[in-house]
Amino acid sequence: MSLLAVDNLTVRLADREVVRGLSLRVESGQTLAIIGESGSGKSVSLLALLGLLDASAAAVVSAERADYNGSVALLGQPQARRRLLGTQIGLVSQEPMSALNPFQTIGAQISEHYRGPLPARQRAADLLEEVGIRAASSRLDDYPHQFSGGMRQRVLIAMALVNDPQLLICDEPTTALDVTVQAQLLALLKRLASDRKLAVILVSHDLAVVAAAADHVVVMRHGEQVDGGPPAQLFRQPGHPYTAQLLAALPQPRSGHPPAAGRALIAAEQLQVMRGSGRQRKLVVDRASLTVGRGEIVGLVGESGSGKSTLGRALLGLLPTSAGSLQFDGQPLLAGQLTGAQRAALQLVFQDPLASLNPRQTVAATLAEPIRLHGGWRAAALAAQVAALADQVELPTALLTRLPSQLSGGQRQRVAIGRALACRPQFLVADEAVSALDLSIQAEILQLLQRLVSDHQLALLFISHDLAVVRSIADRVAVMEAGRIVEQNSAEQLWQAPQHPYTKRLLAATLSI
Amino acid sequence: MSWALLQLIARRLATAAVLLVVVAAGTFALIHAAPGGPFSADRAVSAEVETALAAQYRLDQPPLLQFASYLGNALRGEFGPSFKYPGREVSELIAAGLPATLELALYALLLALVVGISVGALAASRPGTLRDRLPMGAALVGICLPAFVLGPLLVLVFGVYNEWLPVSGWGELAGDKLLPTVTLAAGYAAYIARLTRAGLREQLRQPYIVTARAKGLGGAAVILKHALRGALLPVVAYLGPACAGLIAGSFVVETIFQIPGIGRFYIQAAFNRDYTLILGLTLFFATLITLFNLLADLLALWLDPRQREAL
Repeated sequence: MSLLAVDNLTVRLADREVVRGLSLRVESGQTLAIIGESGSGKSVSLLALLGLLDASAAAVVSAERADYNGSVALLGQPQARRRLLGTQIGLVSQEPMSALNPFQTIGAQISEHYRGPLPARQRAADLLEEVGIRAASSRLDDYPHQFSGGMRQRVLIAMALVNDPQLLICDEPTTALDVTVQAQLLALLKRLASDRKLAVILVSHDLAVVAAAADHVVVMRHGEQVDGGPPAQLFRQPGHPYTAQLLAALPQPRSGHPPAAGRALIAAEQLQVMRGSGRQRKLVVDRASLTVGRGEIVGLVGESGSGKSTLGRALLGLLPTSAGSLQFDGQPLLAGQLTGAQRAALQLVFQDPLASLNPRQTVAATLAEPIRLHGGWRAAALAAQVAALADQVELPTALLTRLPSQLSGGQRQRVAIGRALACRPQFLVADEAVSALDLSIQAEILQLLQRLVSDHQLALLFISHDLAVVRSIADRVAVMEAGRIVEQNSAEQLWQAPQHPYTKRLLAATLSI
Repeated sequence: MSWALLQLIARRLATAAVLLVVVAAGTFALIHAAPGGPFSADRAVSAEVETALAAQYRLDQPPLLQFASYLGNALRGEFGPSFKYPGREVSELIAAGLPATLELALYALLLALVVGISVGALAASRPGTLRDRLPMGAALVGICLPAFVLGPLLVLVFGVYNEWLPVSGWGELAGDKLLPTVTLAAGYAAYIARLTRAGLREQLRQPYIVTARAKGLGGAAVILKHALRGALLPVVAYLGPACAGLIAGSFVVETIFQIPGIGRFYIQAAFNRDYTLILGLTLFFATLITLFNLLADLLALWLDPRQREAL
């Protein structure tokens, strides 16, 4: 008998059907993965089953059958369902950065709903130990903000496990995690499934993760299940064109030799950058030397906290450097003393387009602002400029009057790239610019970036924690560890013959299908 | 207490000291610029008496010297004699009025907090329903209704038409503290209710609330144990100015209900050009405002571990 059996689940949110006819079976000791792009109804269907959708969403949920362990009808018995939560069913929700209460110590949060015989603190410490947090008992009184993203994810898993549940639901448990941490977490989930006979539902948009962890995969699109099967079979012979499309969108290693890069446009020599103030002041970038030439894409990889973003911002003259030299087009670049032309020539694209675009400015206003600032164009010319810019980033002109909240993730990132291009930059830093995007959108944006680089002979520094993406776009790659660039080579060389042990470790942890 | 916290307090107190000198200078300049003087409203006196009075209160000296000697005395805790209450020190007058003012402010604060937070929490738990709209609408009226309208209105209804409660006084008749407290608290309670509701709605949208509900906690437990703490941060930030406002802003209520607090003295002192009393009271209130703001910030630090970290 299945631990969870759902037939024909339908979810309506505000009179819109977001999940249609979904059926699931989850067995003890097995991992079921649900994949699909954002908005396909993966998380919504699970939250709806558990009754965890926000009350103000006015959700209408129905199913022919939604039985837990053959005894509790999840949709028919809300009281019994609530008793299952936190005891029989554990949930690890999305967004490790915000899924923990920032005002409570993690020890208190883990043991809040513990019902077992052990002292609460001891139970919490044991669990933290089990999910791989070192010196667990000394960290019980720490607050969430004192942990990194990966550590918080582990805390969430420990919290979900506190009452020895039979079903663990993990919503995007590895998004935004470094590859090494991701590998550890997946191994942990596998071990739990086999040791504790735990059933796991894994919601993810990362095909490689799913291939590594799942026993069975369900593919969702537009609220419906379109495909399913064991991953080995599904990914080799997709049963539905959409699955094939997802697989095709996976970043592929770049073929062919990169063009010989011209003279270095931006050149950093033994650069040091400090951040923080007072006692918290520390060296974030340590003697980094890096060049990017016109028409060249340089990838910068490393784990979170390794100093990638800080180096990127320092190269744009946005952060003061404490030692070393930085040159742009043969001229020294000093933070705080940039000329207008230099400022315009150095641009940045951020990870989260929704956060980096002004929510109250239309697309047209966003694109026009830098043009006006740096070019001083007249109104008529301005409109033409904005239209041309939208065209460059393949943004339909109909979208120009919209606000960022009315755009999709991919469209927003196009706007952000368009804004960066508005002042005709020569050096562009893309900081995790595709990390928040779905696979197919990600592929489109990567293509766009490549085209822009070759059309305008831009120098592009592409920062990412996703090695497969970097391999698919970069000519050269620099690997960063704890503020230092430990290895630099052409993408092909780096993947075939990594030299530094850290690079080797990083590449070994990368999952692929 | 950590070193950083002590540093913060020391820094804030130092700023407050500078601020107080600026406030004193500003007030001093303003009252001397205002037409008339402390003795100009009295019956005409002979030139000799006027000179003697001016000499007694040092009004014959240049303003800068007057201010310097005032500051010097104030540093020693002497705020000088009142110009209008002969033979009484300013500090004596403040001490006389303070108990009633403080008591009124304290009651009003407690009432505003209890009513505001519970009404706000109830409204936030069922957004969009009658349970939300009715109290929030009332709160809007409460914010808009000034004490000098609400006070007489309450007096009319509860004191005159129905004769349930005394219409004035403080601690003389049973229940005479009720109407002033409600009058003073109403606006603050309404504001706190709206802040609490907005804060709770904001917190209840956060992903960590889903985590809490996934533990099997019920609606009330989610609000009380998880959401409320974050929701109260804006309330705490408002509490500093609110406390000062409750004490300094009770003039109106004290006047309506004839309560022997400080507010009375302030208004009379302003009319009478009672220089020392105005200065003393202004400095006293300025001190309270900075102190309460500091206290509110410390409370926020206690509530929010992230702010503690950022010290």
